[in-house]
Amino acid sequence: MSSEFLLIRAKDELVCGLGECGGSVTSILQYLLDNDIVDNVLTIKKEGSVYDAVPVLISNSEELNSTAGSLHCAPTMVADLIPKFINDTKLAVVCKPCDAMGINELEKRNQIDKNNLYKIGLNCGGTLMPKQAKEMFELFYEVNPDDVIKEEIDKGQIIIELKDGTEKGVKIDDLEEKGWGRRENCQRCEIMIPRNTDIVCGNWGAEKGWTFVEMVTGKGKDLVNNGIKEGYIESKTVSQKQIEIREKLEGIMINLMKKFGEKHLIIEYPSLEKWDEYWNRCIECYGCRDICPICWCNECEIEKNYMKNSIELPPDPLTFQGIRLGHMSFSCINCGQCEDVCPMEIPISRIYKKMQRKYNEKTEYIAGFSDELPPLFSSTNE
Amino acid sequence: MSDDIKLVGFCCNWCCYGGADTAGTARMQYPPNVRVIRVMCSGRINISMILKAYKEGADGVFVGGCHMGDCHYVGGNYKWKRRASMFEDLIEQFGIEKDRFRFEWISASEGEKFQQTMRSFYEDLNKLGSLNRKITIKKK
Amino acid sequence: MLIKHSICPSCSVGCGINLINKNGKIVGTYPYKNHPINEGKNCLRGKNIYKIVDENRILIPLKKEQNKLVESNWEDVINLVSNEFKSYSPEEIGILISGTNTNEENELISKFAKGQKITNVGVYADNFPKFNKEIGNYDDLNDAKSILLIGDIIKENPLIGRRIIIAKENGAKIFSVDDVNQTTTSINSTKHFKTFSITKFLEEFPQEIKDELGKSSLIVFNKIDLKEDFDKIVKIAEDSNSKILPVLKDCNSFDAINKVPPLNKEEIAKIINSVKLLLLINIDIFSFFDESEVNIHIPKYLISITHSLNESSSVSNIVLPSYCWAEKSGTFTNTAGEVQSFDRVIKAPENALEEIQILKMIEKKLKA
Repeated sequence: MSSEFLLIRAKDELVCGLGECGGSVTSILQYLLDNDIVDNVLTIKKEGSVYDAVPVLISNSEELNSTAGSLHCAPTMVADLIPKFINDTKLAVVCKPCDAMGINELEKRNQIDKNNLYKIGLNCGGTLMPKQAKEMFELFYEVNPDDVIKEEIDKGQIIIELKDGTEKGVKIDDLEEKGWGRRENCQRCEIMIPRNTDIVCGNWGAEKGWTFVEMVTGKGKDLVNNGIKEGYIESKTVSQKQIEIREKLEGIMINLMKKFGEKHLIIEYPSLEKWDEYWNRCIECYGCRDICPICWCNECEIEKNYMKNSIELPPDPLTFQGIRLGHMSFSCINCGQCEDVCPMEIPISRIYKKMQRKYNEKTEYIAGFSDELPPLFSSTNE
Repeated sequence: MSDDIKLVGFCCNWCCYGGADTAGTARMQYPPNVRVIRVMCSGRINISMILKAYKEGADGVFVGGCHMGDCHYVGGNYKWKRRASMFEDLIEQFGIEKDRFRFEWISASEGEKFQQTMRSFYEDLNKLGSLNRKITIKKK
Repeated sequence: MLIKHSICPSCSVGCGINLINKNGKIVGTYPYKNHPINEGKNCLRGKNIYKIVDENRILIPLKKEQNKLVESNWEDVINLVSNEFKSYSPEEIGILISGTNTNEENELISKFAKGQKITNVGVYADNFPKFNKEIGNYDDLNDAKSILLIGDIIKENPLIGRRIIIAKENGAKIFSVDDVNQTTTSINSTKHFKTFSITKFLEEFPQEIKDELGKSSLIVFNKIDLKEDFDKIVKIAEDSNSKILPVLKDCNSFDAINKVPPLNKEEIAKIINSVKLLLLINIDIFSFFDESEVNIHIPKYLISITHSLNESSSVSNIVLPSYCWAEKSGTFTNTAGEVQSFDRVIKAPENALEEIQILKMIEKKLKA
């Protein structure tokens, strides 16, 4: 099914002002909740500052306003929360590309029911770790990080808005050259527009105050059209030029990301000796496995007695990461959560992404996107 | 010929294990270093089983399945094939050479192919020497 | 599903952790990436800490009748407790606590003990004494030039361990000391010293380490053999101008040892053997006694305030169900001396009461 494009924004003026570009996502969610199309909405909510956010489940559309606006400094992952804790309701989920890819992989593993789920995708240019972001704002923007009330990534810049209303922006390239900027995984992520959702919203190609929406599935088209019909959103047609601008922006970003992929996974990829040093640090906390949105097994093979050896000090990487690599690396969506939670600073997501890349070269399987099932699950033929 | 090369062979019950049997009954000579483990299908082999073999000291692992299209369970060997192609990349990440792992399609009648495969795999392993993994640290 | 911030109570580092609350139960944890101490990283104990909420939970006050714990009610047990308190002289009464109580509770416990003139009070703090020395903070670790580690810090306090790893990546020299040959800490250190006794090691402190210790050095330790060892470490630190960072046992040991006397095993045993009425607040005395080590006699009357059934509470005469950390608001002081507050995440069971409330009820009854 081919995609359709529209420019939309919230009809409600209050919502329109709250959101990032016209409050479209908030008003679509309001439409879904008000009309009982879904029972709950899963999204993330700011906690005190722009550096802190937690996933939140909302059933009352009035609470939605508190979730409006973008949060680039709070890298969350919501995909695995759905099968674990909220598999019993009809749900709309707001997802950035990695969330959407995680959900897609879990759908293939029969952990999430597609029919119970509305996926509202968001364009994403990357996220930042809270601590790094704070230090960066102090160093490069010369502001007190606590004064930042809003941030966004636009036109190759990380732009912050301060309490007194002033805006400051610094080019991402300049920041990342000096080792700051977005998380490593986001730097090499090649998916900015999650087309594995029902609709994708973003500001690329849109005029100020409007959201460029790509309706991917039939479900998504109905959703937007009904939202317009019910008076939650208003729409404008998209010009050919705007579509081209969006595609061009996406192309530029993908090329940039490809360079980072090359850098992280080939040029600066740790040597075997360095990996040995990393594995020696492992304290067997299972943090990487537990946070992984793909890992869902109730019983995990790496915890089996015949794979463990109590006299081993750091676990043998072959039967620890090796088994995990064998079981899910082909589906690695490069969300970077494993690296984020590793208490021993092992750059663990690099090895997973590298394996996924190799697998992709051989089979063209794109984790989180391809409709076919991953190998351990695939049916009879090639 | 050195005897300390340890070779573990996972053989599919319906084809490769039969092939090994054929080689045996026909008195075809092949290196005694191979320890054959019978599995019901190559598609049944979990990557963790092979990793455990390396961990426990195998210098090389061989997997034998049915020819494409001949699988007793229709599609087991297709599944294995995809897993195997990934597995080669996987062991390299841990410093184990690609050549220490081999998979082959051998039918029950191909005793000679089994013999040849074992011989050439053994020779390759002999050139590589035994697998020295420095990584595991044992507590006293 | 509701996700809320909290502080991890599993060790004294004071990491932040998000708790996932579903239908009034805590069902999991979620990384808290904005927390300055751990940035969303938690160890295995931390990630599973939510399980202690429901584990062996005591839901109703219990009293011992014919050698068996039977269900009772608050009025009844508080009467029993206050009668027992009245029937003994203050010297015959002891109070033992662990480092898992909040700052507010420690304050109240020490006030309660003073009010009742009870002197046999103490907190189990391994071999750590009360100290009044300047200590280093976690951020010092990241940019340290050399670090001396006593005990298996990396495995036992991984979120301090992480900073040591970062320091090492930045070129710091790491020395480790322990009484075993190999630990996770030792294989990640520049040089490991095996010693039979830490006391002896400190007495014969190697010149090699002395040479490396300087202004931006830290001595991090989570175990010592004797209370006197602490002063020896302080002395070494003062001589070399470096900082110390003692890693205490429990999440709020830092505050507890400042409000009530810190005791080691022998001192705890002495109190247990000398009193007739013993009040235990969130402490399981059998969790650290090796039966062969010290001979302890359970006092005549034992009262446990705890949220989960443990070995001590199962031999108690009275068991008073209290709140778990996730069910109350309060503050913890971590081992670097930072006070961190946390909020209630879930409701406590109907028949449990907060420690503060329990003590106040007893106090009120004793006054009447």
